[in-house]
Amino acid sequence: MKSASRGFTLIELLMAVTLAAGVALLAATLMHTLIDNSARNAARLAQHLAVADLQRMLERAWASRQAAGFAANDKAVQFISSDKSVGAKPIELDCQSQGNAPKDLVLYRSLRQARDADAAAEDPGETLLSGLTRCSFGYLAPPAGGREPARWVADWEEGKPPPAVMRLDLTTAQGALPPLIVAVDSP
Amino acid sequence: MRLWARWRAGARKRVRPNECGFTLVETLVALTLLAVATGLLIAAQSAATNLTRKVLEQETALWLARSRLVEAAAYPDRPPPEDEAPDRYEGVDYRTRIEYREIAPVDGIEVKDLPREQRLLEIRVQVSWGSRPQSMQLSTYRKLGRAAASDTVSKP
Repeated sequence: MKSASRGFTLIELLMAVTLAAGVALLAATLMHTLIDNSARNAARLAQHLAVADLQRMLERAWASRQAAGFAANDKAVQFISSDKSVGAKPIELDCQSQGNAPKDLVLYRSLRQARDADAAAEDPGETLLSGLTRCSFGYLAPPAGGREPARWVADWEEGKPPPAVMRLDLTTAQGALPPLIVAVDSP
Repeated sequence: MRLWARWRAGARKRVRPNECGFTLVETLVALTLLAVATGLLIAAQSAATNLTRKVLEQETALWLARSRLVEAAAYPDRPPPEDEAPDRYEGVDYRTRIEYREIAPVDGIEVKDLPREQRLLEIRVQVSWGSRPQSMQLSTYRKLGRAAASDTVSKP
């Protein structure tokens, strides 16, 4: 019988199987890591796109906001914008808890005032961002008397002229995001 | 009996090399090819993932620089902030530096020769990030002595 027709010895077979298993294990580990990273990047990308949309909307609406009808605190802000895309309606941006989970927040927009029940039925609103663990607004108070520099405050006194600059701080389960800061005359 | 022996001898002769299965060398070559192909695939995928990560980092830096510029330009008369601790977003440290510089609106004129209300204020925000530092810079101009941002409110 020729040696070629003998097939593998057990040692040869074990070597080949071990090598194949090693290559497969390495490839599977690397692929798993890569797929994991790709999925995370895709989620981040989607989040960035959603925030970019939000920033554009905020810039437009805030740049043409009017002095009347302004009310704000760290969880919500209401103002009237004369921006055409909004249609000179009152806007309410609200950081709301979803159900009973205080750490699952959504940023919610409605084109109405909170007390306007008829308008609420007409416009159910829109979720701008979800899956947030922290969502808060801040307002840049102008320098007081020329000596105290401008500073960020969480609440805005009713009746005071509205602030020129607003910020929105957002945190997701993956960590904090850079603040979104908009001004009436953004550069 | 002799006939049976002859048939068996004939049957043995008819065994062709391709019916013997693979040799070890053939198996190893196939495995090597598979490993190289998998390696190339992983390298390509890894490069794409790295590129996406870099784009996301740049976008985060741009987002941060833009926000800081809006904040800095709102009340440009206030002093530039002290060197702050870096901001950490998505596992990366971002350091922001804000500079204010008075400049003349026209070339060939010294800033000091101009009255304050005719000078321009250049506001520059630089954000750097990463272990191999990368940076980006945004700047804007404001006329000195203009109305404060808080005075600007859209009229209905």
